[in-house]
Amino acid sequence: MSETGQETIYYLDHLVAQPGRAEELLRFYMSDYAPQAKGRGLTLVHRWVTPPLWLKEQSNELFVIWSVQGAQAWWDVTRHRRADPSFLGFWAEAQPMIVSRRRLFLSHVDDVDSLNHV
Amino acid sequence: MYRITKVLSLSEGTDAAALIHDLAATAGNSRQVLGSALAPTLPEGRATGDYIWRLHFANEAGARVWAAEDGLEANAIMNNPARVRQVDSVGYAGGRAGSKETLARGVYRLLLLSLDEAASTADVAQFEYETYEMGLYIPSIIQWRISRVSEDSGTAPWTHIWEQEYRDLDGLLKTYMLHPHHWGWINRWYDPECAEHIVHNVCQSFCLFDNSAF
Repeated sequence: MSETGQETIYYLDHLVAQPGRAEELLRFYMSDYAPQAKGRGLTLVHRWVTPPLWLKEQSNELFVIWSVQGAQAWWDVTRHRRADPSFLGFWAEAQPMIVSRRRLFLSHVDDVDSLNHV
Repeated sequence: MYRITKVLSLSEGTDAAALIHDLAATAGNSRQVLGSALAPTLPEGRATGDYIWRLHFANEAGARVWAAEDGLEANAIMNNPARVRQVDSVGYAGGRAGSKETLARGVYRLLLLSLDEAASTADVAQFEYETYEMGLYIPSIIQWRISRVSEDSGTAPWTHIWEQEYRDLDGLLKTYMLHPHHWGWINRWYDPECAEHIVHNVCQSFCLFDNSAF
């Protein structure tokens, strides 16, 4: 359980890559998107792939997880993103490599009560 | 019940007191207007505009009669660039609302929304439900309503208005903003980085009220 206001909030980018393009997509994500995200205050926590081999004929799924400390920091990052929409260029360029994507926001289950006590 | 809600940005040098007097008279002179509240926006946060004007009528026909009579004078005032720089306006019959109690006074906040016209019916319905649901989860929202608008004008093609009443400003600027339903759930409809993104423009403003809008 974290201190109130300092709970770890996770961003999960779940990307389903076009068949055979997951490695290329991840490379592009790390070279183009990750520096912008770090510059906005996000900390890279995990880069996961399933299945754990680079498929040639089918889709890999990538899970890239970022974190910030506390809801106020979440808003600070969001305001930075909205003030500088250049990150949208990444998603437009990456789109041909993506079948579908979803961004989720998560917390540790032990932090739910604290996060809701605002 | 039919409502017209406007966010007014005044031109530099405008005599605000005279403007408010003149606009209020166009409502006070009309039998069609059942209620009119014109209040200055609060300086905290990022409120748009200088005044919020809320009018309500028995029905849409009453609003149309007002628009064709005293409303003409109101429009002439608001269309005078020497007095008013910008008006964002919506008319709506009322949407899905919730209430925990009736407040005699507090903070009224509105958010005008412009949803992607290509958004699916299912997505719009889900967005509307989740917006309504905020009032169920966020304790500081005392009364709330999400409505589709039937007429609009201003800086974007407004499709919805999301209204809330709070006991105080902390309820809006702290509890509402920091609650996980906001940043961890419904925000995905607003975030261009999220696949669910359908809200393209917003206009938010808030003011004190001593006459509930609900």
